[in-house]
Amino acid sequence: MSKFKTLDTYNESLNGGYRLAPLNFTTLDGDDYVISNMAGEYLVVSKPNLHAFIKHKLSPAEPIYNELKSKHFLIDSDSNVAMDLMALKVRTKMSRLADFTGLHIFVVTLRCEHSCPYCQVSRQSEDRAAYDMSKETADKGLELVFKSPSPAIKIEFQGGESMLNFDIVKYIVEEAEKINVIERRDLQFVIATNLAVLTDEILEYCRDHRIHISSSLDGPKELHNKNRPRPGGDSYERTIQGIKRVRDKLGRDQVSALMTTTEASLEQPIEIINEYLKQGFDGIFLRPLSPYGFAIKTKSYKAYDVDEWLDFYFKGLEYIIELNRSGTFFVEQYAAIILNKMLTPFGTGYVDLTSPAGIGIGALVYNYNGDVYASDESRMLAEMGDKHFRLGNVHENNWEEMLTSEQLLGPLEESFAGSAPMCSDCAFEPYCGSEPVFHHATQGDYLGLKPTSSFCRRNMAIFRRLIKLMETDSEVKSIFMKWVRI
Amino acid sequence: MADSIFESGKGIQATNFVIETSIYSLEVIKKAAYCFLDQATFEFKAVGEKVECQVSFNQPLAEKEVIDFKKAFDTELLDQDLRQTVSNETESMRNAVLAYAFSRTGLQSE
Repeated sequence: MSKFKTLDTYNESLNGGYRLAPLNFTTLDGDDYVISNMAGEYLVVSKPNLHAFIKHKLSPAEPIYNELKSKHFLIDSDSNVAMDLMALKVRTKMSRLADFTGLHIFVVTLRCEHSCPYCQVSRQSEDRAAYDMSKETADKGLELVFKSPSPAIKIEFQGGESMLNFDIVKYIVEEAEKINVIERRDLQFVIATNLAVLTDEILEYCRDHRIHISSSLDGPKELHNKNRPRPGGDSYERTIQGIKRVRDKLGRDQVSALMTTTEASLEQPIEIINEYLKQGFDGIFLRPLSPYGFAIKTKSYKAYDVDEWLDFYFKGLEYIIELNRSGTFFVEQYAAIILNKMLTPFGTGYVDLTSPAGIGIGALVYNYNGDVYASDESRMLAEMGDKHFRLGNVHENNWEEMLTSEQLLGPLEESFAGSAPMCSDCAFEPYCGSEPVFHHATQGDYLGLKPTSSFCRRNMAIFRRLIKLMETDSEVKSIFMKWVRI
Repeated sequence: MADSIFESGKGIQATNFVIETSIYSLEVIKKAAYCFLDQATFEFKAVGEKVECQVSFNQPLAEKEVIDFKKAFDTELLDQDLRQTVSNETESMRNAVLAYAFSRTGLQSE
């Protein structure tokens, strides 16, 4: 018996002896295409190679042949396990679906002492206690939280300014901790706050209960205070002082910050990033405005278009890459979420970039009055009078009723990118999301018309830029590799 | 592809493509058209072995812009045709991968 395979064995693929595996392709630029498989692995191929490959005319002698084979785009006689591996990778990527709803957001009050014109949650003036969550509502909300099958539960407190109703925050934390003695979930707490009303008592409580602080920092003093007006005009000072106090008391990593891009921010990407560096952060999330709440009423949302925001974003990204080249580790967090999907087998819990959509599956929101919404954006929409994504009320509906309601299942099914026109053919689909709330708000239906969708335009541009950067500069690829969670 | 053009003083407002269905299926033609819905609306009419495709631009275009539009549409037709080839050839494999990926998760319906 021969120890070696015959020459004919190796010639098999030369004679068209390979099968195509499921793949999508989309233009990158010029004659280059991105192809991706079901697990999100990608490859950049030239147009002639793409055509030869799909028409079974690609020679195994071509260097691209083995790359296609190693990423499961083709199967030949010695790659029989490719589809088993592919299925495992898809299963890993989708694993969050079985352990759904890990994030539970309690809107403990709509009161706020800031009056930001871009506010997406339609805050109420500080003295209107009618917008506070009661203990009865909190109890009912907590019952629902622990109905979730997720082994990891994160309870996030939002407002308004959540610290204006800190008594209910404390109540929820302590009740959740009691329940968790039996439940034994990985339980975490986060308070979203502008830090303006932070007290030593609150800080000590957060330290004792290991509560993470998430704040807002829009950039340098002048920009931040312009974007985020409050009595005294000292939002920046209070935020910076608050960040320092949290770090001193709770630890350096216990505070994070988010920025929102306003029209005034567009000219200052470098200054905004430098502010984050100055405050000791090792990353920034460059976020556009969302079409909800006061951002619509005050026309803040329409103050710039998607191309202007992309210009801002890419200037910022370029600067961040240069920082990394010169030895300063600093992450652009939106890019990092996408790169994680591109470069690892893991999915993301980031609601905007999931399909099936993250509504309900990724997060549930318990509003101050007991109404339950499918996402933070859903309740923002509701504050504008549109309750399309209201799943029920904690006092009237149970978990099963809300999680199987047409208000949730309808948009999930209708917006699923895997069967949506254009999305189902798009090579970037594994990195993207379906965002039914955004498309409902901007286009009036859950699916949205993708050629006119600013969500599609924004994300396609970012996907292309990230891949192009990795393809043309190996140092950038090394930097990006450091941004992903392995 | 044979074409006729409808022009006004402001520029070209509409054009007409004729596509052989022996080359591109109706599904491929419709998918290609969908990608351009930000620029134009489309009306299809089957004429024997051909499809007449009436394209009305959202804004009047200059002649060069119409030529560029046609080139882009041709490229999209070819891409959609290739996608259909891939889809036809890999459909059973795609279903098998999904079936395995979702097996024993408790998420699939009985």
